[in-house]
Amino acid sequence: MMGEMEEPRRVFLASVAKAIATFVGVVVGIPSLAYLGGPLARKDTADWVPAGALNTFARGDPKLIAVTISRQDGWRTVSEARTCWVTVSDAGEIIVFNGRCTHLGCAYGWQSQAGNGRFVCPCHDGTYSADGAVSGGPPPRALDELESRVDGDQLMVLYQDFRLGSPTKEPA
Amino acid sequence: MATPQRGMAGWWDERLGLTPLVDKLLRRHVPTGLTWWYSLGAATLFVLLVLFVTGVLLAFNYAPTPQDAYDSVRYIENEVPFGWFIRGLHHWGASAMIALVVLHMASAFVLGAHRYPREATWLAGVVLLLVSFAFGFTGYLLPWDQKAYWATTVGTNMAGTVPVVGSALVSLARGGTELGAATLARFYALHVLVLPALVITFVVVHLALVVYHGVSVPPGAWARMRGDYQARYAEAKAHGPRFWPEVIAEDLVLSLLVFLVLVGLTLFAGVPLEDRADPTDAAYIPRPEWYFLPLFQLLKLFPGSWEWVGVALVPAAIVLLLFLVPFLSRGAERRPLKRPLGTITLAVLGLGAAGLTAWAAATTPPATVVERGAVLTSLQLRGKQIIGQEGCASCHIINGEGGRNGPSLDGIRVRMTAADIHSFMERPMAFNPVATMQPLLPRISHENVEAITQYLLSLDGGSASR
Repeated sequence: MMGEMEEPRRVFLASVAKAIATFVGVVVGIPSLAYLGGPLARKDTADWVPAGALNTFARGDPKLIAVTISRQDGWRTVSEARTCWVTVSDAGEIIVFNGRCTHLGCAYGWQSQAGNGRFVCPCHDGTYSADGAVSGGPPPRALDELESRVDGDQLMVLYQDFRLGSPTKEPA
Repeated sequence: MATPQRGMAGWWDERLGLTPLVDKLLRRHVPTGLTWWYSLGAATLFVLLVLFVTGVLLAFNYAPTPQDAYDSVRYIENEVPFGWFIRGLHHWGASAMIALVVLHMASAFVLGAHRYPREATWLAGVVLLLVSFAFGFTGYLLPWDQKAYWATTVGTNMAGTVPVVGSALVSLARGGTELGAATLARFYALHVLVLPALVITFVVVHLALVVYHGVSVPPGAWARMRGDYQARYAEAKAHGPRFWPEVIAEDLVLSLLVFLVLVGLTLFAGVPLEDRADPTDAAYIPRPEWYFLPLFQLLKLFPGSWEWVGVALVPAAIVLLLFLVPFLSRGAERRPLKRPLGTITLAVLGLGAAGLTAWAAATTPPATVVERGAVLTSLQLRGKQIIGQEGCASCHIINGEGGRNGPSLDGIRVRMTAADIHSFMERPMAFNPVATMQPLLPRISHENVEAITQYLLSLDGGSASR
């Protein structure tokens, strides 16, 4: 066979071919991975948003409210509604909870029972007491309390989402 | 024979049985005497792969609607990590694809590679040429910028000049009578679904035929081929290099050169993204991508009701000719100089396309006008155009030239506010009861008066005429 004599040349050409393929693969591949991984570098921002007139909140059953947040959605800036539950404690302190269950983000509801209501998530039966503490089911942490303040006669909420499924409350 | 592999590769090979196939594809021999021209097909395939990878990536962040398209492209360009790089490779890759397909085809013809027994390989290649142009045409609408909008407006309107079926063709191309959301959706569907399916199918056919027939024999070594072809070809192959690694290494060196050019263009020339598509912009000068310039310019040879000849008949005749090449050019001779008719035809087509391109380039007004060191905005440019059409300079000095019946407009921004300039032009008498200037309203629209105002505001100096 003639092949034997040309073997060193073949080995050389094979390594040239592999080197070129590797070079192109790296020059296209690394930017491609960075391109696809772009969302990893993005963090949601928290914004103060109006949550309604103060006199609409009272002791007793928590109230479901919708707030409008503005967020960067890819190339668009969009206004979207998010839900929160507002409770007023016996001491008159207002507490606002993010409307997503801390387990996997389902919207949870309020089950009213005489003097002993609870928040119930319909997805996996997670339950929370009125102060947000987990009382049953899979949720890894208490409901996410949001910062709030009073501005004139308005309740303002610092709307923010937190990482779901984690035992600690950290920004999403 | 290859030695049986061990370990993981051996495990898979026992189960998949790919070794015979890989041997057939990679260890086959090619004829002696191949030159760099024979690597053009491989370089074309390489660019196609780059276009596939970058195209899929672009689709991750692109939305094909008139509301979103431009912003999503800007987002890719400015916000997504390396988005500018991916888009750059795709943009320049598209141009390289067209250039390489045409070069590959021309060199195959010159080298007689379309002749027996590779006629079907040529026919699949013609389809791939047409698909490449279709990719280009559907692709550059997608950014929805001025060039996209206007070049596609002109491009689709060209179909409208065809007798009888013209308007039906325009509606089919646009998905309606006007360019809009339906057009963008169907161009996108063609660009990312239909054309890729076509290109994959025909590339597979084309490559399978290349493997089946082997690479063609250089015309210098063998002048005439027929009759005992199979035996002589087998002999040429027996002494030739192997596909892996000899031929692949050469193919990859050429591909690497092409790739470096694409990267260089992306890094140093960037990728154009013009202003957002503006259907009301009368000042924009539409020009297609360079590879459509010959077709664009061809129209000017067929004025009036004969336009469809340039739009449809001549291109259709050229496409038909390409499909007929293997049936018209059937001799055994492969040397180009011994095939004068074919070589002259190719030269005429090539020079014709080059001439039309040069003519188009020479007659294209600059897309941007620079006055006093600043680029005029499209609004200012429109204002300047209207000033020219209306003959304002017969009474006013504008940009250093003009009549003296009216006040010089050079440096008017120092003497009047923008709002006053605008209002004065619309109703001069409201400002000065003895003004002799005719009101521009209603002959010229409010928007166009504003365009004139914007241009006038760019004029400075002019103290000599005051």
